[in-house]
Amino acid sequence: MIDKYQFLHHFLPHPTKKKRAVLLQHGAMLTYALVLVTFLGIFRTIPRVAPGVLGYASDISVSDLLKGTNKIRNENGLNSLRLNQSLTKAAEAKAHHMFAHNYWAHVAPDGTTPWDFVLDSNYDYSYAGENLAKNFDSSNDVVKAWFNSPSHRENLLSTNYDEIGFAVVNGVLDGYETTLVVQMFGRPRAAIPVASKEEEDRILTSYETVPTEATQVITISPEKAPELAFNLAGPQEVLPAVDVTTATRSITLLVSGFLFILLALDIWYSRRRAIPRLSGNAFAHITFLVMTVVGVWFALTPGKVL
Amino acid sequence: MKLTKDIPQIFILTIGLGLVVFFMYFFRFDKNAQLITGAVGCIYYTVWGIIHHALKERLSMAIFFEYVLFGLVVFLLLLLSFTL
Repeated sequence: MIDKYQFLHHFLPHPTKKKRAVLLQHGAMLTYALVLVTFLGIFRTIPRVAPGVLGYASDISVSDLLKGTNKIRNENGLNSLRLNQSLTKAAEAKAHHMFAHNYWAHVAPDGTTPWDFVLDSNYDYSYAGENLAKNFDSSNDVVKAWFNSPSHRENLLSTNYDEIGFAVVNGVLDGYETTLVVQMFGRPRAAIPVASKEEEDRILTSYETVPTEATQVITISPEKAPELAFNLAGPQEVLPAVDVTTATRSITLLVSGFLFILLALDIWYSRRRAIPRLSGNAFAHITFLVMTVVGVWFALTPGKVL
Repeated sequence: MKLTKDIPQIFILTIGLGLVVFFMYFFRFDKNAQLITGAVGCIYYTVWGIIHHALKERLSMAIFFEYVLFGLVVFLLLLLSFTL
């Protein structure tokens, strides 16, 4: 019956030729490899010719980052860190500097260190630290990634800090639309009181009032809070035209699923028609494929920390 | 009988791939290490396939290229996922 419809042997093994389905033969596998190389090329080229088209969807907020950080500290028997305006300003400056000079590092290509931003924001410190994150989709994932990285966890759980500042800034880095998160820790050198709860609330409120444009300049009246008159890039949701994480996961699932179905059909039809073939082990191929998808799906976390 | 003879080799494959998945999860916050783990996994699978068929005295050029191409396709899938 099936032999009347030869095109079905694109999907099913051939009983007389004793070969795998056409779509599992060497030529087809080579084609899949070339298609994947093409996709890789496209994903690398688009950011150069059309910056911002590809990106990482995100919805990160300073208040959630602060809550997450302090929750982890409290769970480990440490005091909460208070949001400080100077450290916030330093974090904002660092994030904008990274977008402006297209880099992602603790020390800028021009040699500017994190401590330069802290000192420029008039924060005279005895201890200071910096954590960076990019391409994450939620505040929870950012804090979790920092906590899971030994060097970043050291900052999160350090007893040397009393205050903290965050920046969550959206922009285009290396051609990809993304969100950079900067976390600055500090302890003032002088024995002055740490940032008050009112100061913290004022900073958080100012973030909540940021309109929806990508970058906004917030100027707070000098009478109310002269120290807060700096550029605030409010945290907004990022929705790029093509979300890289979703796109790559979909392609992986599509190609793996297609090969999985072809291999399953190969096993089923070969047994049904008792087709003896000199080819690779289809069960082993399926095991390898399934483990790859499991690895990509569960182990691939979006975002990077530095 | 044939299946019984294959069991030790399938066991070695499963253990090896299980370790690859474990290390991928272990390095979940280090994409470079994850990609290297994935590449090692693809090479491991290709070599396993070749040795598996050689031990059964069924290794041919067609089977050799089947494992090489399959390993290549899976590696490209990983490369696509881990480098973007």
